[in-house]
Amino acid sequence: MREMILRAFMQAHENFTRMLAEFLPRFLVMLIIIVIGWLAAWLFKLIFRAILRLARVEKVSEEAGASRLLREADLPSMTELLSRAVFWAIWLGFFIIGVSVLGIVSLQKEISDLIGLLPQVFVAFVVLFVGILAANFFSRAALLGAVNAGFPSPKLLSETVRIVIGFLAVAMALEQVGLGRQTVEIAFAILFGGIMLGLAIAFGLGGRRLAQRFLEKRFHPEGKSRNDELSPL
Amino acid sequence: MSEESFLSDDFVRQLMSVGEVDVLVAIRSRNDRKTIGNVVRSAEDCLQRRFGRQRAVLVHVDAGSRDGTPQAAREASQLGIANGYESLRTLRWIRTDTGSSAGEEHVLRTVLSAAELLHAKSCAVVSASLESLDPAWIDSLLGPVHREHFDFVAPLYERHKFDGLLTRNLLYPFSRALFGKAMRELRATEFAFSGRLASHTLARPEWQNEGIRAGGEMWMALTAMSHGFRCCQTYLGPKPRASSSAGVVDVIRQSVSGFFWCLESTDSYWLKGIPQDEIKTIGPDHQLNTEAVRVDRKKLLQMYRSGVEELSQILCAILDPETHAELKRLAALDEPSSQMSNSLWARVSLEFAAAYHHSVLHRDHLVQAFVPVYRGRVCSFLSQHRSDSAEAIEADLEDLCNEFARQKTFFIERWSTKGKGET
Repeated sequence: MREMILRAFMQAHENFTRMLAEFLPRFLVMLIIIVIGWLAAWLFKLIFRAILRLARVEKVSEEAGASRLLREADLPSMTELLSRAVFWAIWLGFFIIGVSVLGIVSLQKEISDLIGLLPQVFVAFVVLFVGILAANFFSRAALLGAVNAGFPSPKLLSETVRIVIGFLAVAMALEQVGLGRQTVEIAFAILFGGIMLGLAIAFGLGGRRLAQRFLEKRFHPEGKSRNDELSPL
Repeated sequence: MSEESFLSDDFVRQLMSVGEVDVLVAIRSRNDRKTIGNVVRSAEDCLQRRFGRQRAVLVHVDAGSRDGTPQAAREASQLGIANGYESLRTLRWIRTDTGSSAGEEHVLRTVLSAAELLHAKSCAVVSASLESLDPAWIDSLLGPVHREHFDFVAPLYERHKFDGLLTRNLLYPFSRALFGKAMRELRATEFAFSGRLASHTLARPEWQNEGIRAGGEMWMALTAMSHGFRCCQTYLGPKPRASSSAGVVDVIRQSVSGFFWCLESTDSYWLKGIPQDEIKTIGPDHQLNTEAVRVDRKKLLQMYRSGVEELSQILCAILDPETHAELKRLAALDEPSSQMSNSLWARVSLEFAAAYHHSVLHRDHLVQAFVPVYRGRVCSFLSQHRSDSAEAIEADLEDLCNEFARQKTFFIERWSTKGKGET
């Protein structure tokens, strides 16, 4: 009995030592890969940042209104944000490779699923970012147009444009990662249809005179009132 | 793009058949069926009476009219009809259509190319949209080039005291401060130039830039001033109203963005700090008439107020905090106290130009944000000069020019350093 217990202990100890002997080198390899990955990611970040500065990405971002958006969200500049994204993407790649060296079967499956999802997540982020930029650009254009045309509620119009485009971007991004595909589509259709119907009713009933004036101006330009007889030039 | 590739084959053939000329008069049109007849007759009349001994050509450049403008021009032509003033040489008439999608700069470039290919010594451009065109105008424009060897002739008009406020409040004082020359009508529809200037401007690389679409004529005037060409201005008479008047917003988008782009394309010249210099004026100087005119001042003020309030975030990105705060303060006041001073207007205009240069926003959005501020300035101008004489308005304009000149150093510094407030 005593011998059996001792043998079991010895066996367990032996197994543990063997497992440790197998695991430790892998763990070390994983650590080395992660450290090398960190160094490579850091190096790529520096190179990428220099390329972005040479390509004057900051100016493009400023013109498109993206920089202001980032400032408002208390985020770093576009160059910094993109170079950080490159850093994390590369390091995450090395991290995943490192973890896979451990040889844990269930973990490997999860990791391969995650790797399979990464391109879609990346595309979803790009779609979302472009959507936010477009929403910002068009809402500003709507605001300026409405203010200069003397419309009564320019901010309402501008925010509506922003929300519709923003929602469309979110819907597209979620569809990209495969989340609630049908729900998102239906929700978007309902929201968009609702807004359009609401606007049509508001314009037709609430703004009947405005609609009449607009149509008169559009189709009978000679009858349009000249509020201002001054020529700027 | 070479001249051969952007001029149509038919037009090149017409140019070749004309050969060389001494004088060229170009008529630009776009849907001007009602007015082009008078312009054509005036141009022919002038060329036959005043330039009868010269080889002359009339070039009609139409920008894709759909109302039968080219036919109206042909029908109006008196060539071949005895009127007692037949020229000693044949007056030729050629025409081309640049298409409706072509911009104003394409029309100008076509005229310049025609002038170069025909080796024209003196050229004038007139707009077919003028309700009346005195033949003497063309003589006044061509004369200084033909007889006194000037390279660029800008017009001077008699105008209503409240007409051309963008020109008088922004283009004239701003360009005078930077280029040192008091050319009043920078964005003229009628002007004249020498063959030498035509060849010089045609060879410039700016034609490849999008920006030229909005301000070809201004760019030509500023290029003449900044490249040592002889410039003058000549009095034409009362300016008739153009038949198709675009909306204020469109005019500002075109003119202001064109002007700011011109500043950018010539900054290597004016950044050196050009001293004030005289420009020869032929005939009387700019004249103002003070007839009563109906203007809705309240609406202008209300649009200024709502613009400053609604666009606060955008203006904040363009202007210095103090300038922005001052605009907001004025917008909150009642009309009599809500006067935008010359100093504030100059400051705002200069800060907008610098922000355009540094592209702090999409450039078209930036220029659109200028519209409410312009309306505020117009409203102040109208209140201030409601009952003023032409002399008092001229004195105030001189003060505005001095204000732009005084703030020039600030502007050059702002232009040269990236971002507002950074030095």
